Amino acid sequence: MINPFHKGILFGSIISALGTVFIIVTIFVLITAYTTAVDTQKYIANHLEELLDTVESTAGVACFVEDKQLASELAAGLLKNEGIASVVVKAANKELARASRPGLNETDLADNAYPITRIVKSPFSKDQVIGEIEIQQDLNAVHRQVTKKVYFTVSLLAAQLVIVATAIVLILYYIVVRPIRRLSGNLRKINPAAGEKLQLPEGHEGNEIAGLADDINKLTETLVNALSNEKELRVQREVDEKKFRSIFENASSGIFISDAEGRILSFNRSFVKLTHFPAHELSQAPKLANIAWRRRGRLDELINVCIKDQADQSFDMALNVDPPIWLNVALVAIGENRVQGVISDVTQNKLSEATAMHLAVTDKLTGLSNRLGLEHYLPDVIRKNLGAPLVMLMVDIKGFRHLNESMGLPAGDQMLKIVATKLLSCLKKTDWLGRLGGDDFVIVLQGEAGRVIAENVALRISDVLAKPVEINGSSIVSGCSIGISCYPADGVDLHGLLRSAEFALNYAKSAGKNDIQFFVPEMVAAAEQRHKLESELGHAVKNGELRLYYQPIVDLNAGRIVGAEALVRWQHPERGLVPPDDFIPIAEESDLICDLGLWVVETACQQLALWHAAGRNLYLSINVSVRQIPDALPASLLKETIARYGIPASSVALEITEGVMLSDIEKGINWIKELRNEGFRIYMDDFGTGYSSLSYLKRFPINVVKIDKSFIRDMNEETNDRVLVKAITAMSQALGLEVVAEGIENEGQIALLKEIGCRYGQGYYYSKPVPVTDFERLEQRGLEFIVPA
Amino acid sequence: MLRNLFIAIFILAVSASSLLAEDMVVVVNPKNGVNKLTREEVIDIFLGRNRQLSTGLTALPLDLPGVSLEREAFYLRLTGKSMSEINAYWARLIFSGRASPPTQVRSQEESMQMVIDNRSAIGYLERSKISSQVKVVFELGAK
Repeated sequence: MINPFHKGILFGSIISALGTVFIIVTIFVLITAYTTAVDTQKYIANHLEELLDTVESTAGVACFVEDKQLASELAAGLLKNEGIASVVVKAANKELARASRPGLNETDLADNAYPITRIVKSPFSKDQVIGEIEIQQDLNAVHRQVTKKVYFTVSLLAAQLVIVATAIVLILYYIVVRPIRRLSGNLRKINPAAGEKLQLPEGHEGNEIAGLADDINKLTETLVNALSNEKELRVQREVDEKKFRSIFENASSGIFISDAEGRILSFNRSFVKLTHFPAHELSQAPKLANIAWRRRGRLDELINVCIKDQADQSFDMALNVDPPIWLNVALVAIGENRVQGVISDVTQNKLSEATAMHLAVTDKLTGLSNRLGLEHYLPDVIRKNLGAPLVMLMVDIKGFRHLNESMGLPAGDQMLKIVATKLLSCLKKTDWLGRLGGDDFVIVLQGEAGRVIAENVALRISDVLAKPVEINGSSIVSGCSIGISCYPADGVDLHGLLRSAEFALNYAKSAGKNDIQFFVPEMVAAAEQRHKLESELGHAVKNGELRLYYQPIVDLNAGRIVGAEALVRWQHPERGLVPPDDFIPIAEESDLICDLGLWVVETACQQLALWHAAGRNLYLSINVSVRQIPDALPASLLKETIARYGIPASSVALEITEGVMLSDIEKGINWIKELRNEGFRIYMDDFGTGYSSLSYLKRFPINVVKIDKSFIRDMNEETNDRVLVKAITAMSQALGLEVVAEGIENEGQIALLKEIGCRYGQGYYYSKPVPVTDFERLEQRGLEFIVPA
Repeated sequence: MLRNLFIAIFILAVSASSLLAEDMVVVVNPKNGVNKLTREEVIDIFLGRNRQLSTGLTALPLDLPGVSLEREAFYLRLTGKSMSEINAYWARLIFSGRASPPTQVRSQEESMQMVIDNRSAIGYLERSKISSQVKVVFELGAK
């Protein structure tokens, strides 16, 4: 497009140049006119003053004598000067001459009234004024002169400026306008989309025009690129949209978009399928409420929450169909009061979840509830019963560990199953039974579960479980201990009740107590006491608070002390002498028994060494706990100890109980064999109680059998016991084992034992366990106490 | 330098005139009626400006010969102008005819005589030359 000339740079430049010229000329003309006028006037004034100077003396003479002719001559002479319009010469009181330029009329003179007056003084006295000369300037003449000068200056300036302006315009045209026009023409011809570049007019390489052409080329390139990118993006977007559309349509999840009122704005095929959307509702304005939810209105609520809080929602909802279908609905607010929902079928998950939940709370072995089940059940039942009383029974199978150890885990498992069945037979339908682990069964009685009912149930259980059970062809007699806690008195939650029941159970389990115990707060104190004792016992070994007491073992025939059973006693710094029943079980339950056992061995050997040095040929029997066998009391240690004290192995006897047979039999046998090889003697303690089995006597290579005091106690009267003692003695002798009778209290027993053939014995009849000094005194007194048969 | 020279010559000239004519006086006929004249009145009379006396008479000034010392002294003392200046003055006026220079006499004696003879005459003399027949109306002392 060609610009109209009046909008072009050239026109603008010309106008600007001319305007500038005009303004400059005007200013210069004004300045010139002014200065010229001022200069000219000054010049004329000076000139006139000089003229007057030259005629001064003549004027003085003329005035002195008032000579008119002389004055006229003078005036005429002055008038010859251009710039003087008229001359008047005056004496003191009369006019001597008047002359004016011809051609000037009176008004001109009046208008140009710029008189110059020169006072004329007497030629003979400088003080005496005798007249004056008055000259009128001809201002027209001044103006003429000024005008002429101004004309000249203006013409000169104007000529210069016109030349400069023309030059500027020409330069502008060739340097700026023409290249721009050419550039513009080139620009119209090119096609940037085809990659054509704007050509630079010749002769402008490297200047601003070239820069402009470059910039235009870069700009067109950028624009062309942007356009092509835009086009690609549009194509990509269309492809993407189709893709997304296809994904949306074919998604296995149901997808919908709805507004806050639950009107469905958009949905896919799966949505219809999953929600069993009624087909007749699809045609006109379908709503989410048309779906057959089990809980109607719930979805609308959640949509409102989602929109209000801008928070994603995810929840499971069931359809009111059979079998039930569970759908997970995930809502996302997408603005403008709309939500996008994704629906997926979670029925399988729900079923798996339920199964898993059931499995989680069930004990696999017995099919009863487990601990987790109790954790779910009890708080629930407390809540439902609004705090009505409950009773918790904790049942522990006696000897279950021994059963497990001796007969193997499958036997134990079978036992547990049987116990579970038996327990169920004792309970009502409303009662709850679970196994918390191991042989810990828990029963919760609800309803009118008072102490009496609880006790009845406990007694029934106790009776039922006391009956022999047949496992793997063996008849097993067990029994149980039961701890009972009551809600809310003994605990307000599961933890509290379990804890109380456990206290009661532990109390029941401790030796010599009733098998059924209700929880009482004192049990806590007792347990604490026990705990305290346990920690003190640990110190006792180190602090040397333990003492060895000695109960003599007597050769019944010879009536002579042959040795002693070393029994540990605890000299408590505050409590005094603590009975072994109070602390041995505690030690047995912890590892303290091992330390304690070592101390006993050490002390006994030390004592033996002293006795042997004094020529007393005694032996000591030391009680060994099951827990010490075999690792806590290895043969090597015993060997090292006797070597240190220089005593023979035969002077040390180790008393084990039948419990050894119930634990790892092989290890026990090996331990015994090793000791036997070293020359130590092994006593079987408390024979006749527990799981005594004659076959064990054969398998265990022991030296001596100690008949339990319960048989001895009543052997005077009870023929059965006497027969038993006799049988044991006979059998032992047949197996080559010595026999020691425990708990001898009177001479009758001694006589009987001797008769039976039992050679050794111990008991209160001879002496209770006593400190070493007392024992030594007894030993020295010899048979003083022993009444000969 | 030149200026100093002029000043020296001037002083010399003045001194000379002073030496030559110690006192100059202007005299008139006693019958004239005028007793006293001012310096201005004397200048007006001798230089042709106004010769009308207060008594009504027209004064007839008498001038000593052109080159006399007395004349030079008189004008110098009266107007402060040199003889050549006075001559130039008269040269301008003579042309127009409006004023005329004083009547020329040959000597002081002749001037004296003319004053005695003519009631309107007015002359100037050295003081030593005057007689009782004339009346002194203005004195020009040596400076």
